[in-house]
Amino acid sequence: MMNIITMTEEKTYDYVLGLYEAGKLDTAGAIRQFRARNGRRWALVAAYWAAGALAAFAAVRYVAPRLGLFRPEAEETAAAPVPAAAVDASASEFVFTDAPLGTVLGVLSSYYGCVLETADTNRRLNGTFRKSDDVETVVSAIGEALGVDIEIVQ
Amino acid sequence: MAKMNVEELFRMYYRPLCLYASHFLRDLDACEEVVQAGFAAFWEKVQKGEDPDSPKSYLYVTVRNQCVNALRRKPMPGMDAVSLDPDALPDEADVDHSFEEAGIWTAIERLPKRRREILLMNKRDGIPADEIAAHFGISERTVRNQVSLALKALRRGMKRADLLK
Repeated sequence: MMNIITMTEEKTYDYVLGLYEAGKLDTAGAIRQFRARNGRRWALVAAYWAAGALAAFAAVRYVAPRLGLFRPEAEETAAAPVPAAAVDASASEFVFTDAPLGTVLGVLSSYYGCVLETADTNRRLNGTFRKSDDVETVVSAIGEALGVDIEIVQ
Repeated sequence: MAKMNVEELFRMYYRPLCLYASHFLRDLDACEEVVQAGFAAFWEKVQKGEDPDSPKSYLYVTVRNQCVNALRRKPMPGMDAVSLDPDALPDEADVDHSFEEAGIWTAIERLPKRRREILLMNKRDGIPADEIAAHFGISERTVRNQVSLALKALRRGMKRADLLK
């Protein structure tokens, strides 16, 4: 447009000073105005974002634990469907057949009433454990067998 | 892009766009209207699932077009230096310049109250330093000091704006 590129700095100050009025070009006010005018659509988009956030939350809360990305909590993990073939906890022993470690810890934590944490819940376990043994014994045996650290969190 | 917050776009581009428009329209209220309309048009596009890859250039093009249309409907005296070619794109240098102007505007706004008052009286309203000194009951030297401090702040504001382009 006008050759404002050749304007000196001085002229630029003068230009802005000449226009300056307190309270004008109020960005926060402009945002409020924009919202008021585009309110309904804005609300829809807010809802859309909220739904997205909810989905992300659900992913972290419910899906990540199964992938071993989030601390499994006892009752939740226990509530997760356990493949019948992999776990038999009906008798006086736990029998695990190629059971994912996450599932194993879920079963144990609901039985012993504690939270068990480990980094790698995808490891698979075969073994039989007496229910009469205490949780430390069972957990350390599993830890040794698989070479993983399992933490008992009360 | 649709994920980008409109508020964020306002914070980055609202003032520069208004100052850009001011070179066409002068009247700040008219500028603010035109820029609001530009944001609304942008928003409409986003709502429709279109994805302008540069919100910045979309906003500048839209604001420029609106300004040109407004001037065609109602020509303003003294605006003959402005290119009113409806198909022209915003000049890159003018766009950059509007960021500097916005930086200056923000710097004025952030000055201590008294210093801002003195600056505006002196540089905007053309009141001589001795009259300002008399008005506030301070020395002329203080007035000049305040003005020079204010101008330094404006310079910093302008330089900072360079980082935002």
